[in-house]
Amino acid sequence: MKKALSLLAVLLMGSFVLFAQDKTVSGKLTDEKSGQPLSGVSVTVKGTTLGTQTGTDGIFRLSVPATAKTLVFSFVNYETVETPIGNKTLFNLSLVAADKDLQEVVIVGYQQLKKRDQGGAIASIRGKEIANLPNVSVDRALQGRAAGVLVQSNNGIPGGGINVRVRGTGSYLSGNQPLFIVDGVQINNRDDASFTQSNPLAFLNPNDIESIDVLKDAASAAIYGSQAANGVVIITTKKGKAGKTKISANIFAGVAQPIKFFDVLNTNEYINMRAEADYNRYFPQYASNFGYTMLDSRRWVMGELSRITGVPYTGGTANYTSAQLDSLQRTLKNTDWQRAAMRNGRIQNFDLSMSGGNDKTTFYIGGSYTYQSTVINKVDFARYTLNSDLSHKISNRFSVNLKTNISTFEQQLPFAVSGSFLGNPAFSSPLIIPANPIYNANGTYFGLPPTGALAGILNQNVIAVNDFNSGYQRTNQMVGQGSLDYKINDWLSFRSYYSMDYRLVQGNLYRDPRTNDGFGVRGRGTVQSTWNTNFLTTQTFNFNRTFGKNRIDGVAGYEYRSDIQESISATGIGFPSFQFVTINAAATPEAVGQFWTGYKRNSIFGRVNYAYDGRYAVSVTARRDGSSRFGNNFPFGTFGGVIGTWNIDKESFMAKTSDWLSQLRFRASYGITGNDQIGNFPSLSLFGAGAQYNGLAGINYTQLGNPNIRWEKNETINLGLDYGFFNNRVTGSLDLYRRRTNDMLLPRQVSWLTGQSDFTDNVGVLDNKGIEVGLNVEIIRPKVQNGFRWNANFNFAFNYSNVVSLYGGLEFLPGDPELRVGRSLNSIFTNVYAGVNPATGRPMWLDTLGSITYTPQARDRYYIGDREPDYWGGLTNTISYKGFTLDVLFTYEYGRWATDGQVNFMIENGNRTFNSLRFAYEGRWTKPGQITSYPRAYDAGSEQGGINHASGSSRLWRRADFIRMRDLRLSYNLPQNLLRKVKLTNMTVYVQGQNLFTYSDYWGYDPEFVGASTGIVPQTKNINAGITLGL
Amino acid sequence: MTKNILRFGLLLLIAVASVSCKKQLEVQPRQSILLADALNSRENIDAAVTGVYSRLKSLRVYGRDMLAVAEALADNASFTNKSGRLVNENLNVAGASFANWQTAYFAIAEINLILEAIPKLNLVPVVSAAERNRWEGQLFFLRALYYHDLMRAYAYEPGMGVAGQDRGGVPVILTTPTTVEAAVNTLPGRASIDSVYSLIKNDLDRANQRLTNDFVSLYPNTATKVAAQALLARVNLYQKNFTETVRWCDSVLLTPQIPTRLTGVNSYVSGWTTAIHPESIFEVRYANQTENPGVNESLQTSYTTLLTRGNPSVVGGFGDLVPNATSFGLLGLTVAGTANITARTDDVRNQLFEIGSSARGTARIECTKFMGKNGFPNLDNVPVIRIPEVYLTRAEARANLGLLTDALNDLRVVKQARYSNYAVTQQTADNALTTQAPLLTEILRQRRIEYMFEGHRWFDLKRLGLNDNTILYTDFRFLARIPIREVDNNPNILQNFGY
Repeated sequence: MKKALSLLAVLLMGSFVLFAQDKTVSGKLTDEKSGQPLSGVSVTVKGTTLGTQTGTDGIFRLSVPATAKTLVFSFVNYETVETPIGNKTLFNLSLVAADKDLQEVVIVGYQQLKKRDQGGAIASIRGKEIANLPNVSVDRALQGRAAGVLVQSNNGIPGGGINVRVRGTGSYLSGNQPLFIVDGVQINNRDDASFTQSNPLAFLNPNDIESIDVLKDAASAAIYGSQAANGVVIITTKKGKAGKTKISANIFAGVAQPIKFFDVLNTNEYINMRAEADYNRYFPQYASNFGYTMLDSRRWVMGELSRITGVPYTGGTANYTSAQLDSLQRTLKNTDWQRAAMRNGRIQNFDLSMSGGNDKTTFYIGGSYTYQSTVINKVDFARYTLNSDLSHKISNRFSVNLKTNISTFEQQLPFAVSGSFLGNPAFSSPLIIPANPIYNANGTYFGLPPTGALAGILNQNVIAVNDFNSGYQRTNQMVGQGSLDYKINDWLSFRSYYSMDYRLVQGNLYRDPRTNDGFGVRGRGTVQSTWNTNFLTTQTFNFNRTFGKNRIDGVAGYEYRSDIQESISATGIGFPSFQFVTINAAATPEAVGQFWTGYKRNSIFGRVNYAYDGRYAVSVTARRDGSSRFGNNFPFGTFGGVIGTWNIDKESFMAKTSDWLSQLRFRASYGITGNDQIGNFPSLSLFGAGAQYNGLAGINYTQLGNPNIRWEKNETINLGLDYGFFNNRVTGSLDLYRRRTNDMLLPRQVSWLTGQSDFTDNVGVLDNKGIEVGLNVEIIRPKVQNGFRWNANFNFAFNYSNVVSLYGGLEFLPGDPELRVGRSLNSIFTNVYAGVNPATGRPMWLDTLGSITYTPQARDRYYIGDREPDYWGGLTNTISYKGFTLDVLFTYEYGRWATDGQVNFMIENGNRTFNSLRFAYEGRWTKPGQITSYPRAYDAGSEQGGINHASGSSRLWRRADFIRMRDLRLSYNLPQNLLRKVKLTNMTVYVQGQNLFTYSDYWGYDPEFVGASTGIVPQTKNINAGITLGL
Repeated sequence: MTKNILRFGLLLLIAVASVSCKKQLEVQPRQSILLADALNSRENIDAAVTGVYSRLKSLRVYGRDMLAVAEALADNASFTNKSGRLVNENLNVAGASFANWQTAYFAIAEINLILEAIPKLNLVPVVSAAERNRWEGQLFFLRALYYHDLMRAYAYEPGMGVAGQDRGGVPVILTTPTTVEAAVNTLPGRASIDSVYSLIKNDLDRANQRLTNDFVSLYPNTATKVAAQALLARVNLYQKNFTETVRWCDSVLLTPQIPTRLTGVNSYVSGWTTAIHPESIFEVRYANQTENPGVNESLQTSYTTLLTRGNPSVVGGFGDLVPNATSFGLLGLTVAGTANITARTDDVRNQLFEIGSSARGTARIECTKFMGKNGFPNLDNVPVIRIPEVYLTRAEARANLGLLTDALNDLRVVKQARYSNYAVTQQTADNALTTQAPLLTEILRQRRIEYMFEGHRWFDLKRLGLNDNTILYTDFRFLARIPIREVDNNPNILQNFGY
């Protein structure tokens, strides 16, 4: 009690003292160039936490104690000014805009650094560069904008799968996707959608993004240790800013259109091709007995179309004369199934955000609705998001932050993501024989069961199938985090951070009993629910001290993550009628499923940055991770890195060059990161459930565990140079790297005699070496404000990958000779096509000795290329004049080989009863002496003593090089004087196009896809217009 | 201040300590159990045995290949190219053949693990002899069956090797490695043909000693004594041990429940419409719709475009493989054009061949033995051993031993059950079979008809050294290619000749 009283006395006295000697200072702050008042400038008394902000008029007023000596004025993007107080009370100052480069910050993981002081290889993208692009998810926007980051879409499903590669492919067995971090939350990068595809960032409205920083070198990424081997993509969303409440609205709408249609044969050409194929096959077999003529082949082919003509071969077309066949053929339709299956998609986006606050509390609220449908009927994506950020200073020491991103998105996909399913419109529509009509004469669908089907192998009326079936997926996702910051003293603070990435993915798939796939089982319905609970907590200390010319800062902390996935599913068959689609109506439960998996990880980490005199900086990072994914023997791994930076331009000996050299900086880094993107239990030998026989449940020996499994380690050396010439009119950077994957996790094969195929082992070494170039040129600098400006930004990446060694001195992986020492991880090893024998029209290949063979064997395979691009990058041009701005982004990829599953079907040229591409048909061998690469049409494809020309060989591989005008945007900013009249701070109107133009000689629908392109929902070109309003 | 730092320093220390604690990282799988715990209870041994049976359903074994690929390779069928499947097999393209290696060895590995675990079971109540016999009997039978199918696909039968092309039997593995070190060093070469046959017969002997004939529950979907005996008969026939063959056939046919189950002319077709074929001695069962082999490769879709017999207007599967003109003759079908049946003989077996749908191209005569008998399209049990085989096997063995009358009697049993007007159409010809050669020819012809589209023909050609319609017996393609990865991973395995 006594103590409390004395404390009270001290406090009272203290306040008395303060009160007695306070004085008030005030003033107005303006921009040095424009003279405009600056609002939101922070004014503080140096060495204390006393402070205020300027109002909208630029004026501030502050009570300061007599002991106060210096006022500090600081403002984003302006040089900080310190002024002695002395006896003055009025402080009218103008602030100088800061050298942009000095002020730019990058988020490097648990910490934010000035770009100038960090020496890793980090690519940064500002939110406004990618705002309002018609991309459902942000990762698609990275393409061409960040040097060395390769982004490829799996297909054209809005929000669908994405392949992101930072500096090449570094792993064979483990994941190759980078770690995605949104506001500190380590996002789970699995795709949980069962009936469609979605990528891990599809929940996020791209317009909520403030910045994206891609940590490319291992030393930078090492702070994330075992998860960072493939680079780290750090996404920071918008936060509240103190000052006047700002409201911003974005609206855009547009259309998505097919990039192209396949040029396929019409009905007459199809019949001709197929008859030729039949004739070429059967003429030699029958000729000796009785004359088999082209007319016989035509009869046969018309018989194959009896579904349409109603005249079967047996007892029908077999006896027709040529004239009868002609007249029958004239009755046939010529349906364009592709155009019937495709439409124009719709793009819509509305979002509204509000931010503001005062010096104690700031907030940001953003809400959005995004809708995008694509060119295949019914395939779409609709998303609602609500993003909020709230920060509050409880006291001078304590502050709290709460950030939540709530998102729900719904996707429809009535059939399949991809694949050669007869009912998949993307696959079937160009292959269906065009003689098939879509509708009967009475307007109902043609060719439905029980009695109907289309003629040909592709016998499903995909228009009806797409119309009747439904597939639906809803993802509810909450990514939220709360943190508490405690300032221990003026150089040390503590943060306690907790986050949750909760994802619930639910789906419904219905195969209508009126369709071919649903008829036999009287309808099949599947429901599915997957939930994912990804919890993360981080406890960190941050410190920052300056001693004279020395500055030292850093972070140290502990982290724990637990990630659990569970799912249930059920399938029922036997529906009363098509009107019943919920599985409670099904008579027979066909399958039920449950799934559980999970892992845990805990870690300690730290980073220390030391800078001297703005000239030299060194940064050291270390992290130790433990993970449940690895065996009992090696669950822990240590990672780390060192970065050095030398700002050469700050050296005195460089003073003379300052007239032309505005900045020059050398960077070097070395680091080790890990890859733990493997299954959750590879260290354990397992018996798994799921088998059944005789109505009993059985178990099978499913896995041979390797208790000695360890992390895959990536060791990267990076050398970089940043430069600026002519007053930073030309700026850029150059990075060279070698990324070596040690202990590469490989499926180490064992003989099937062991009951297993392989076990996971750390046995390979892989190198990725590359160059990244970034160049930014202000080609035309405006002489006056709003004058003509032309900026160009170019980036280029070259990556070369090769396998250095495999286990046991092997030259290639048994069973997968495409993984070969000295070759790329994704090399292609196949038979080599030698063209068509001009005398006979038969396809030829090369054998091991390089001579011609008609029956190539596995031993005759050669290495022909790889599936990784050699060069890729982007070029952005920004031209502005007055309020108009034109932005054009070109992206390019060179050196990648691809095989196109869809085309492979479409160049069969009458092997089977489906349509072909016109160029294959027109190029086919027809007469002796003809030089072509398309063999003669031959039913079933395999000539006597030969193999099918459509078999896998170099013939099916093509270069997928392209240059694409990815984004084109013309926008107009309304002038300020006009806006002030309507009380707006900003208004921009724009039109833009995406994928408008592609230069490529690729033979498929589009060179941009990953994996097989068989029946994928295709990419589109998009055109939209929009408006942005600021209040 | 210092206190604060100390306090937080302590926190950090705790954090560091907890990182080095393995306990915190423990996550156990929930859908699988550890190998070490898997085979130590009755329930799990039962489940593991069920797991071995379930592998028989694989498309690479009895789900399709042992029947449909065998037919495509042989001279009974031609491909229709309606889905493009079974084309290369039918053309005998090198490499297009059986692929049961992986499934068979995976099953054998499990069998070895279970056989090793059974004696170590330490349970209350103690494992009884009957229990142990039931488990072991089934496992020995299954191991023999898997090795038998491996030998049929990848090796010559004893004494039938083509000079210069015979590379022996298949590798034998009787102990399954459980560590990665042992697995890497599991590199056996190919055993001799005779030693694999000894192994198969030894396993079947042990199965025969342990199994009982329970015709009530689960027959014929699990192994029984008669199944082991019937397979012993087949293996001995393949080995040309005719005396042994006759002995085991006798054992089967003297089991009172067996001869009565041979379906007569009036019940032959209905035998192929019930879920479990009444003639089956061992049959792979597909009990639930979840086990459906699917619309692309099931036996039904491979053989017919029909969804139900006699209704070509409703289209079902692809109908990739259909009987050729020779088979029409064998079956007693007169066909005009490609699919117009104008006459049928009194052989009831031809009633399971009829015109298919024209929905997938020209209609063809198709086999309707597999029509979704278990209630759903494509869901059919697959008979592995049917009673007529035992009669025909004994007939062949007896004929070879010179017991021509006995042989003819066996042949008659089968034919009388198949020709509705046997006395008129067949008897005279059969009575004339008084010498060995024509009798053997007729026995083989009946085998071919009886098992049309059930996959026996190819193995009959192969065990007897007969030519196929596209390739000669001496052609290397009579044996399947051993999977390339198996040869790559194990230098001791010699690839079959020609590949």
